Amino acid sequence: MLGSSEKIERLIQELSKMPTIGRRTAQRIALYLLKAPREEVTSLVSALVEMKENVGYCAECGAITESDPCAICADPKRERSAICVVEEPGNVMGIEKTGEYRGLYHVLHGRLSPLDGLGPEDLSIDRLTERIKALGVKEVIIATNPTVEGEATCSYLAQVVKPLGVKITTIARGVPMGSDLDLADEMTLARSIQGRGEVK
Amino acid sequence: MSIHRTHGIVLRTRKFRESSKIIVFFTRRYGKISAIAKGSLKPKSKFGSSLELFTRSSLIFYRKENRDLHTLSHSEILNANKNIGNDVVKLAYASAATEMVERLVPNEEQNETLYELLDAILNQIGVAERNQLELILASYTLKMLHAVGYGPELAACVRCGKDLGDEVWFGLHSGGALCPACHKEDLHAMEMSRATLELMRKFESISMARLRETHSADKFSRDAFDILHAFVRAQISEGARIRSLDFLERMRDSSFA
Ligand SMILES: [Zn+2]
Ligand SMILES: [Zn+2]
Repeated sequence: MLGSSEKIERLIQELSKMPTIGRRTAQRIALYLLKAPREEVTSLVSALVEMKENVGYCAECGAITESDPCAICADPKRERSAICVVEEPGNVMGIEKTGEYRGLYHVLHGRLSPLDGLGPEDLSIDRLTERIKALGVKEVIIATNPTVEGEATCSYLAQVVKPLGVKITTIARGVPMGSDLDLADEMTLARSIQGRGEVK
Repeated sequence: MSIHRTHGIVLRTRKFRESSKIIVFFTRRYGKISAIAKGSLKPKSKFGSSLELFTRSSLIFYRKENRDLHTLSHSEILNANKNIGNDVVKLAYASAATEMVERLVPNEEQNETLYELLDAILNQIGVAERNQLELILASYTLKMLHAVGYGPELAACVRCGKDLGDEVWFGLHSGGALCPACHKEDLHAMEMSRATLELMRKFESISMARLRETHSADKFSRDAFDILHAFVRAQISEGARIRSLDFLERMRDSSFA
Protein backbone atom coordinates (compact mmCIF):
# COMPACT_ATOMS: atom_id res chain seq x y z
CA MET A 1 0.00 0.00 0.00
CA LEU A 2 1.32 3.40 -0.98
CA GLY A 3 1.09 5.63 2.05
CA SER A 4 -2.51 5.68 3.13
CA SER A 5 -4.32 7.08 0.11
CA GLU A 6 -7.25 4.95 -0.87
CA LYS A 7 -7.59 7.06 -4.00
CA ILE A 8 -4.11 6.16 -5.23
CA GLU A 9 -4.78 2.55 -4.39
CA ARG A 10 -7.93 2.62 -6.52
CA LEU A 11 -6.00 4.08 -9.47
CA ILE A 12 -3.32 1.40 -9.11
CA GLN A 13 -5.98 -1.29 -9.18
CA GLU A 14 -7.55 0.17 -12.32
CA LEU A 15 -4.19 0.49 -14.08
CA SER A 16 -3.06 -2.99 -13.24
CA LYS A 17 -6.08 -4.45 -15.07
CA MET A 18 -4.38 -3.42 -18.32
CA PRO A 19 -2.31 -5.82 -20.41
CA THR A 20 1.41 -6.02 -19.55
CA ILE A 21 0.93 -3.66 -16.56
CA GLY A 22 1.81 -5.29 -13.28
CA ARG A 23 1.34 -3.78 -9.87
CA ARG A 24 4.78 -2.23 -9.76
CA THR A 25 4.38 -0.50 -13.14
CA ALA A 26 0.91 0.67 -12.08
CA GLN A 27 2.43 2.25 -8.97
CA ARG A 28 5.03 4.01 -11.08
CA ILE A 29 2.36 5.40 -13.42
CA ALA A 30 0.21 6.53 -10.50
CA LEU A 31 3.13 8.40 -8.92
CA TYR A 32 4.00 9.94 -12.26
CA LEU A 33 0.42 11.20 -12.69
CA LEU A 34 0.39 12.57 -9.14
CA LYS A 35 3.42 14.69 -9.96
CA ALA A 36 2.33 15.67 -13.49
CA PRO A 37 0.71 19.07 -14.23
CA ARG A 38 -3.06 19.11 -13.98
CA GLU A 39 -3.48 19.82 -17.74
CA GLU A 40 -1.58 16.67 -18.64
CA VAL A 41 -3.91 14.55 -16.54
CA THR A 42 -7.08 16.21 -17.89
CA SER A 43 -5.82 15.78 -21.42
CA LEU A 44 -5.23 12.06 -20.79
CA VAL A 45 -8.72 11.65 -19.34
CA SER A 46 -10.38 13.43 -22.27
CA ALA A 47 -8.35 11.34 -24.76
CA LEU A 48 -9.61 8.18 -23.07
CA VAL A 49 -13.23 9.28 -23.02
CA GLU A 50 -13.15 10.57 -26.59
CA MET A 51 -11.64 7.33 -27.83
CA LYS A 52 -14.22 5.29 -26.00
CA GLU A 53 -17.12 7.39 -27.27
CA ASN A 54 -16.04 7.69 -30.87
CA VAL A 55 -14.09 4.61 -31.86
CA GLY A 56 -15.47 1.12 -32.28
CA TYR A 57 -15.52 -1.86 -34.60
CA CYS A 58 -17.07 -1.84 -38.05
CA ALA A 59 -20.20 -4.00 -37.97
CA GLU A 60 -19.36 -5.22 -41.46
CA CYS A 61 -15.68 -6.16 -41.35
CA GLY A 62 -14.64 -5.79 -37.70
CA ALA A 63 -11.93 -3.19 -38.37
CA ILE A 64 -11.35 -0.31 -35.93
CA THR A 65 -13.31 2.70 -37.11
CA GLU A 66 -14.82 6.06 -36.12
CA SER A 67 -17.76 5.58 -38.48
CA ASP A 68 -19.87 2.52 -39.07
CA PRO A 69 -19.49 1.07 -41.66
CA CYS A 70 -15.79 1.91 -41.86
CA ALA A 71 -14.25 4.00 -44.64
CA ILE A 72 -13.14 0.89 -46.54
CA CYS A 73 -16.53 -0.86 -46.40
CA ALA A 74 -18.26 2.40 -47.35
CA ASP A 75 -15.94 3.19 -50.28
CA PRO A 76 -17.80 2.44 -53.55
CA LYS A 77 -14.47 2.16 -55.38
CA ARG A 78 -13.32 -0.90 -53.38
CA GLU A 79 -13.77 -4.21 -55.19
CA ARG A 80 -16.54 -6.18 -53.55
CA SER A 81 -15.48 -9.44 -55.17
CA ALA A 82 -12.52 -10.04 -52.84
CA ILE A 83 -12.25 -10.32 -49.06
CA CYS A 84 -8.94 -10.51 -47.25
CA VAL A 85 -9.23 -12.28 -43.89
CA VAL A 86 -6.85 -11.22 -41.10
CA GLU A 87 -6.46 -12.03 -37.40
CA GLU A 88 -6.31 -8.53 -35.87
CA PRO A 89 -7.44 -4.99 -36.78
CA GLY A 90 -3.78 -3.89 -36.91
CA ASN A 91 -3.22 -6.22 -39.87
CA VAL A 92 -5.70 -4.18 -41.96
CA MET A 93 -3.63 -1.04 -41.47
CA GLY A 94 -0.46 -2.95 -42.43
CA ILE A 95 -1.89 -4.23 -45.71
CA GLU A 96 -3.53 -0.86 -46.50
CA LYS A 97 -0.15 0.85 -46.20
CA THR A 98 1.20 -1.26 -49.08
CA GLY A 99 -1.43 0.24 -51.42
CA GLU A 100 -1.47 -3.13 -53.25
CA TYR A 101 -4.94 -4.28 -52.35
CA ARG A 102 -8.30 -2.88 -53.51
CA GLY A 103 -10.74 -5.37 -52.03
CA LEU A 104 -12.50 -5.61 -48.66
CA TYR A 105 -11.31 -7.01 -45.35
CA HIS A 106 -12.61 -9.25 -42.63
CA VAL A 107 -11.10 -9.24 -39.13
CA LEU A 108 -11.43 -12.49 -37.19
CA HIS A 109 -10.39 -10.95 -33.86
CA GLY A 110 -8.10 -13.84 -32.98
CA ARG A 111 -7.06 -17.25 -34.21
CA LEU A 112 -8.00 -20.79 -33.31
CA SER A 113 -5.96 -21.58 -30.23
CA PRO A 114 -6.59 -24.66 -28.08
CA LEU A 115 -3.92 -23.42 -25.62
CA ASP A 116 -5.80 -20.17 -25.10
CA GLY A 117 -9.18 -21.88 -25.31
CA LEU A 118 -10.22 -20.01 -28.47
CA GLY A 119 -12.54 -21.99 -30.74
CA PRO A 120 -14.45 -21.13 -33.93
CA GLU A 121 -17.33 -19.62 -31.90
CA ASP A 122 -14.90 -17.07 -30.44
CA LEU A 123 -13.96 -15.75 -33.89
CA SER A 124 -16.00 -13.80 -36.39
CA ILE A 125 -16.50 -16.74 -38.75
CA ASP A 126 -20.28 -16.86 -39.17
CA ARG A 127 -20.23 -13.19 -40.08
CA LEU A 128 -17.57 -13.96 -42.71
CA THR A 129 -19.68 -16.59 -44.45
CA GLU A 130 -22.72 -14.26 -44.33
CA ARG A 131 -20.73 -11.50 -46.00
CA ILE A 132 -19.31 -13.82 -48.66
CA LYS A 133 -22.87 -14.81 -49.62
CA ALA A 134 -24.38 -11.32 -49.36
CA LEU A 135 -21.64 -9.55 -51.32
CA GLY A 136 -21.23 -12.24 -53.98
CA VAL A 137 -17.53 -12.53 -53.17
CA LYS A 138 -15.43 -14.45 -55.73
CA GLU A 139 -12.08 -14.68 -53.93
CA VAL A 140 -11.20 -15.07 -50.26
CA ILE A 141 -7.59 -14.27 -49.43
CA ILE A 142 -6.58 -15.77 -46.10
CA ALA A 143 -3.87 -13.69 -44.45
CA THR A 144 -3.59 -15.27 -40.99
CA ASN A 145 -0.20 -15.10 -39.27
CA PRO A 146 2.46 -17.59 -40.39
CA THR A 147 2.37 -19.45 -37.06
CA VAL A 148 1.19 -22.97 -36.27
CA GLU A 149 -2.12 -21.64 -34.93
CA GLY A 150 -2.46 -19.17 -37.81
CA GLU A 151 -1.93 -21.99 -40.34
CA ALA A 152 -4.46 -24.22 -38.59
CA THR A 153 -6.94 -21.33 -38.62
CA CYS A 154 -6.25 -20.90 -42.33
CA SER A 155 -6.93 -24.55 -43.12
CA TYR A 156 -10.08 -24.51 -40.99
CA LEU A 157 -11.38 -21.39 -42.77
CA ALA A 158 -10.64 -22.93 -46.16
CA GLN A 159 -12.74 -25.92 -45.13
CA VAL A 160 -15.63 -23.66 -44.05
CA VAL A 161 -15.50 -21.39 -47.10
CA LYS A 162 -14.95 -24.05 -49.78
CA PRO A 163 -18.63 -25.15 -49.99
CA LEU A 164 -19.55 -21.57 -50.94
CA GLY A 165 -17.80 -22.09 -54.26
CA VAL A 166 -15.33 -19.18 -54.05
CA LYS A 167 -11.65 -19.14 -54.95
CA ILE A 168 -9.46 -19.41 -51.83
CA THR A 169 -5.92 -18.08 -51.79
CA THR A 170 -3.36 -17.35 -49.09
CA ILE A 171 -0.75 -14.64 -49.00
CA ALA A 172 2.70 -15.89 -50.00
CA ARG A 173 4.62 -17.18 -47.03
CA GLY A 174 8.25 -17.94 -46.62
CA VAL A 175 11.58 -16.26 -47.17
CA PRO A 176 11.40 -12.61 -46.12
CA MET A 177 12.57 -9.91 -48.52
CA GLY A 178 16.22 -9.05 -48.18
CA SER A 179 17.25 -12.30 -46.54
CA ASP A 180 19.49 -15.05 -47.90
CA LEU A 181 18.16 -18.48 -48.96
CA ASP A 182 21.15 -20.13 -47.30
CA LEU A 183 20.06 -18.77 -43.95
CA ALA A 184 16.38 -19.73 -44.21
CA ASP A 185 15.42 -22.74 -42.15
CA GLU A 186 13.74 -25.89 -43.43
CA MET A 187 10.22 -24.86 -42.42
CA THR A 188 10.48 -21.41 -43.97
CA LEU A 189 11.88 -22.81 -47.23
CA ALA A 190 9.22 -25.51 -47.37
CA ARG A 191 6.49 -22.85 -47.11
CA SER A 192 8.19 -20.80 -49.82
CA ILE A 193 8.25 -23.75 -52.20
CA GLN A 194 4.62 -24.66 -51.46
CA GLY A 195 3.49 -21.07 -52.01
CA ARG A 196 5.57 -20.47 -55.16
CA GLY A 197 4.10 -18.17 -57.76
CA GLU A 198 4.26 -17.88 -61.51
CA VAL A 199 6.80 -15.41 -62.91
CA LYS A 200 5.01 -12.82 -65.01
CA MET B 1 26.04 -16.08 -16.27
CA SER B 2 26.65 -19.48 -17.80
CA ILE B 3 26.08 -20.95 -21.24
CA HIS B 4 24.04 -24.12 -21.77
CA ARG B 5 23.31 -26.39 -24.70
CA THR B 6 20.43 -28.81 -24.93
CA HIS B 7 17.54 -29.93 -27.12
CA GLY B 8 14.06 -28.61 -26.42
CA ILE B 9 10.44 -28.75 -27.56
CA VAL B 10 8.30 -25.58 -27.64
CA LEU B 11 5.34 -25.86 -25.23
CA ARG B 12 4.07 -22.27 -25.38
CA THR B 13 5.09 -18.85 -26.67
CA ARG B 14 3.96 -15.37 -25.90
CA LYS B 15 4.79 -11.98 -27.27
CA PHE B 16 7.08 -9.85 -25.13
CA ARG B 17 7.43 -6.11 -25.76
CA GLU B 18 7.46 -5.05 -29.42
CA SER B 19 9.41 -7.75 -31.16
CA SER B 20 10.44 -10.47 -28.73
CA LYS B 21 8.92 -13.70 -27.52
CA ILE B 22 9.09 -15.64 -24.29
CA ILE B 23 9.15 -19.35 -24.95
CA VAL B 24 8.45 -22.22 -22.59
CA PHE B 25 10.51 -25.24 -23.64
CA PHE B 26 10.65 -28.75 -22.36
CA THR B 27 14.33 -29.57 -22.65
CA ARG B 28 16.23 -32.82 -22.47
CA ARG B 29 18.76 -31.68 -19.87
CA TYR B 30 16.96 -29.07 -17.80
CA GLY B 31 13.27 -30.01 -18.00
CA LYS B 32 10.81 -27.13 -18.32
CA ILE B 33 12.49 -23.74 -18.79
CA SER B 34 11.42 -20.29 -19.95
CA ALA B 35 13.64 -18.19 -22.16
CA ILE B 36 13.38 -14.87 -23.91
CA ALA B 37 14.25 -14.74 -27.61
CA LYS B 38 15.04 -11.13 -28.33
CA GLY B 39 13.91 -9.80 -31.70
CA SER B 40 12.33 -13.13 -32.64
CA LEU B 41 9.17 -11.53 -34.05
CA LYS B 42 11.11 -9.57 -36.63
CA PRO B 43 10.87 -11.18 -40.08
CA LYS B 44 14.63 -11.36 -40.43
CA SER B 45 15.22 -12.83 -36.98
CA LYS B 46 18.00 -15.42 -36.73
CA PHE B 47 15.54 -17.70 -34.93
CA GLY B 48 13.51 -18.16 -38.13
CA SER B 49 10.58 -20.49 -37.48
CA SER B 50 12.42 -22.53 -34.84
CA LEU B 51 10.29 -21.11 -32.02
CA GLU B 52 6.93 -22.27 -33.34
CA LEU B 53 4.78 -24.51 -31.13
CA PHE B 54 5.78 -28.20 -31.09
CA THR B 55 9.09 -27.58 -32.85
CA ARG B 56 12.07 -29.52 -31.53
CA SER B 57 15.32 -27.60 -31.76
CA SER B 58 18.86 -27.63 -30.52
CA LEU B 59 19.24 -24.68 -28.18
CA ILE B 60 21.94 -22.51 -26.68
CA PHE B 61 20.89 -20.28 -23.83
CA TYR B 62 22.42 -18.12 -21.13
CA ARG B 63 21.36 -18.62 -17.63
CA LYS B 64 21.47 -16.17 -14.78
CA GLU B 65 21.57 -17.62 -11.29
CA ASN B 66 18.34 -17.32 -9.33
CA ARG B 67 16.38 -16.21 -12.34
CA ASP B 68 13.50 -18.08 -13.93
CA LEU B 69 13.83 -16.40 -17.29
CA HIS B 70 16.89 -17.26 -19.34
CA THR B 71 18.14 -15.74 -22.58
CA LEU B 72 18.05 -17.78 -25.75
CA SER B 73 20.98 -17.09 -28.01
CA HIS B 74 20.62 -19.74 -30.70
CA SER B 75 18.16 -22.36 -31.89
CA GLU B 76 18.17 -24.68 -34.85
CA ILE B 77 15.30 -26.89 -35.94
CA LEU B 78 15.68 -30.64 -35.49
CA ASN B 79 12.05 -31.47 -36.23
CA ALA B 80 9.38 -28.90 -37.10
CA ASN B 81 6.45 -31.34 -36.77
CA LYS B 82 4.99 -29.58 -39.79
CA ASN B 83 1.97 -31.84 -40.20
CA ILE B 84 0.34 -30.56 -37.03
CA GLY B 85 -0.39 -27.04 -38.25
CA ASN B 86 -2.23 -28.30 -41.32
CA ASP B 87 -5.12 -29.59 -39.28
CA VAL B 88 -6.94 -27.94 -36.38
CA VAL B 89 -7.80 -31.36 -34.91
CA LYS B 90 -4.14 -32.34 -34.77
CA LEU B 91 -3.33 -28.91 -33.37
CA ALA B 92 -5.80 -29.52 -30.55
CA TYR B 93 -4.36 -32.96 -29.68
CA ALA B 94 -0.77 -31.70 -29.81
CA SER B 95 -1.72 -28.72 -27.62
CA ALA B 96 -3.29 -31.06 -25.06
CA ALA B 97 -0.13 -33.20 -24.99
CA THR B 98 2.12 -30.20 -24.34
CA GLU B 99 -0.22 -28.31 -22.01
CA MET B 100 -0.56 -31.30 -19.66
CA VAL B 101 3.23 -31.35 -19.31
CA GLU B 102 3.32 -27.61 -18.77
CA ARG B 103 0.73 -27.87 -15.97
CA LEU B 104 2.02 -31.01 -14.27
CA VAL B 105 5.77 -30.51 -14.03
CA PRO B 106 7.66 -27.92 -11.98
CA ASN B 107 10.31 -25.71 -13.58
CA GLU B 108 13.81 -26.98 -14.22
CA GLU B 109 13.53 -30.59 -13.21
CA GLN B 110 15.28 -32.90 -15.64
CA ASN B 111 13.10 -35.74 -16.92
CA GLU B 112 14.53 -37.44 -19.98
CA THR B 113 11.78 -40.07 -20.13
CA LEU B 114 9.19 -37.33 -20.37
CA TYR B 115 11.20 -35.54 -23.04
CA GLU B 116 11.30 -38.70 -25.15
CA LEU B 117 7.57 -39.25 -24.63
CA LEU B 118 6.72 -35.73 -25.71
CA ASP B 119 8.87 -36.09 -28.80
CA ALA B 120 7.19 -39.43 -29.58
CA ILE B 121 3.59 -38.21 -29.17
CA LEU B 122 4.18 -35.19 -31.41
CA ASN B 123 5.64 -37.46 -34.08
CA GLN B 124 2.71 -39.85 -33.73
CA ILE B 125 0.14 -37.06 -33.96
CA GLY B 126 1.88 -35.91 -37.14
CA VAL B 127 1.54 -39.28 -38.85
CA ALA B 128 -1.73 -40.58 -37.33
CA GLU B 129 -5.13 -40.58 -38.97
CA ARG B 130 -7.69 -38.37 -37.26
CA ASN B 131 -9.61 -41.36 -35.90
CA GLN B 132 -6.49 -42.69 -34.13
CA LEU B 133 -5.73 -39.51 -32.22
CA GLU B 134 -7.95 -40.17 -29.22
CA LEU B 135 -6.40 -43.61 -28.68
CA ILE B 136 -2.79 -42.47 -28.90
CA LEU B 137 -3.34 -39.40 -26.73
CA ALA B 138 -4.95 -41.57 -24.03
CA SER B 139 -1.95 -43.89 -24.18
CA TYR B 140 0.45 -40.96 -23.99
CA THR B 141 -1.42 -39.54 -21.00
CA LEU B 142 -0.98 -42.73 -18.99
CA LYS B 143 2.73 -42.99 -19.90
CA MET B 144 3.19 -39.32 -19.03
CA LEU B 145 1.49 -39.78 -15.64
CA HIS B 146 3.98 -42.56 -14.84
CA ALA B 147 6.88 -40.39 -16.04
CA VAL B 148 5.95 -37.52 -13.71
CA GLY B 149 5.25 -39.72 -10.69
CA TYR B 150 1.44 -39.71 -10.75
CA GLY B 151 1.11 -43.12 -12.43
CA PRO B 152 -2.13 -44.85 -11.33
CA GLU B 153 -2.11 -48.40 -9.94
CA LEU B 154 -3.80 -50.73 -12.41
CA ALA B 155 -2.46 -54.18 -11.53
CA ALA B 156 -4.65 -54.67 -8.45
CA CYS B 157 -7.06 -52.67 -6.26
CA VAL B 158 -5.12 -49.62 -5.17
CA ARG B 159 -6.68 -49.64 -1.67
CA CYS B 160 -6.80 -53.31 -0.61
CA GLY B 161 -4.44 -54.95 -3.09
CA LYS B 162 -6.95 -57.61 -4.15
CA ASP B 163 -7.07 -58.86 -7.71
CA LEU B 164 -9.62 -57.13 -9.89
CA GLY B 165 -12.64 -58.89 -11.34
CA ASP B 166 -15.13 -57.75 -13.95
CA GLU B 167 -16.49 -54.90 -11.87
CA VAL B 168 -13.89 -52.15 -11.71
CA TRP B 169 -13.80 -48.48 -10.77
CA PHE B 170 -11.11 -45.85 -11.17
CA GLY B 171 -10.51 -43.79 -8.04
CA LEU B 172 -9.50 -40.24 -8.88
CA HIS B 173 -8.47 -39.62 -5.28
CA SER B 174 -7.15 -43.11 -4.54
CA GLY B 175 -4.93 -43.02 -7.64
CA GLY B 176 -5.86 -46.21 -9.44
CA ALA B 177 -8.25 -49.10 -9.99
CA LEU B 178 -10.68 -50.03 -7.24
CA CYS B 179 -12.53 -53.25 -6.38
CA PRO B 180 -16.31 -53.28 -5.68
CA ALA B 181 -15.72 -53.20 -1.90
CA CYS B 182 -13.32 -50.23 -1.99
CA HIS B 183 -14.94 -47.96 -4.56
CA LYS B 184 -17.35 -46.56 -1.96
CA GLU B 185 -14.37 -45.22 -0.01
CA ASP B 186 -13.48 -42.88 -2.84
CA LEU B 187 -16.03 -40.12 -3.44
CA HIS B 188 -14.50 -39.54 -6.84
CA ALA B 189 -14.60 -43.04 -8.27
CA MET B 190 -15.52 -43.48 -11.92
CA GLU B 191 -17.04 -46.71 -13.12
CA MET B 192 -15.04 -48.41 -15.83
CA SER B 193 -15.32 -51.60 -17.79
CA ARG B 194 -12.94 -54.49 -17.55
CA ALA B 195 -12.10 -53.91 -21.23
CA THR B 196 -11.09 -50.32 -20.46
CA LEU B 197 -8.81 -51.55 -17.68
CA GLU B 198 -7.21 -54.07 -20.06
CA LEU B 199 -6.72 -51.32 -22.64
CA MET B 200 -5.01 -49.10 -20.07
CA ARG B 201 -2.71 -51.99 -19.14
CA LYS B 202 -1.89 -52.30 -22.83
CA PHE B 203 -1.03 -48.58 -22.90
CA GLU B 204 1.58 -49.30 -20.24
CA SER B 205 3.14 -52.23 -22.05
CA ILE B 206 3.43 -51.19 -25.70
CA SER B 207 4.75 -48.15 -27.54
CA MET B 208 2.45 -45.54 -29.06
CA ALA B 209 3.72 -46.40 -32.55
CA ARG B 210 2.89 -50.09 -31.99
CA LEU B 211 -0.50 -49.20 -30.52
CA ARG B 212 -1.35 -47.11 -33.56
CA GLU B 213 -0.51 -50.01 -35.87
CA THR B 214 -2.37 -52.70 -33.94
CA HIS B 215 -5.40 -51.01 -32.40
CA SER B 216 -8.29 -48.95 -33.55
CA ALA B 217 -10.39 -46.52 -31.59
CA ASP B 218 -13.58 -47.79 -29.96
CA LYS B 219 -15.78 -46.95 -27.00
CA PHE B 220 -13.18 -48.30 -24.59
CA SER B 221 -10.52 -45.93 -25.88
CA ARG B 222 -13.04 -43.09 -25.42
CA ASP B 223 -13.60 -44.25 -21.80
CA ALA B 224 -9.87 -44.51 -21.14
CA PHE B 225 -9.39 -41.05 -22.61
CA ASP B 226 -12.08 -39.53 -20.38
CA ILE B 227 -10.99 -41.30 -17.18
CA LEU B 228 -7.28 -40.53 -17.61
CA HIS B 229 -7.97 -36.88 -18.31
CA ALA B 230 -10.28 -36.60 -15.32
CA PHE B 231 -7.34 -38.02 -13.34
CA VAL B 232 -4.93 -35.45 -14.81
CA ARG B 233 -7.34 -32.68 -13.84
CA ALA B 234 -7.48 -34.07 -10.30
CA GLN B 235 -3.69 -33.61 -10.04
CA ILE B 236 -3.56 -29.91 -10.85
CA SER B 237 -4.47 -27.22 -8.38
CA GLU B 238 -8.13 -26.44 -7.95
CA GLY B 239 -9.45 -23.82 -10.33
CA ALA B 240 -6.58 -24.34 -12.78
CA ARG B 241 -7.65 -25.56 -16.18
CA ILE B 242 -6.15 -27.40 -19.07
CA ARG B 243 -7.67 -25.36 -21.84
CA SER B 244 -6.67 -27.65 -24.70
CA LEU B 245 -8.47 -30.56 -23.07
CA ASP B 246 -11.60 -28.42 -22.67
CA PHE B 247 -11.18 -27.43 -26.32
CA LEU B 248 -10.90 -31.10 -27.39
CA GLU B 249 -14.09 -31.96 -25.54
CA ARG B 250 -15.96 -29.04 -27.07
CA MET B 251 -14.66 -30.03 -30.50
CA ARG B 252 -15.85 -33.59 -29.99
CA ASP B 253 -19.35 -32.42 -29.04
CA SER B 254 -19.70 -30.03 -31.96
CA SER B 255 -19.39 -30.76 -35.62
CA PHE B 256 -16.72 -28.18 -36.30
CA ALA B 257 -13.99 -30.59 -37.20
ZN1 LIG C 1 -15.58 -2.22 -42.43
ZN1 LIG D 1 -10.19 -53.06 -2.86
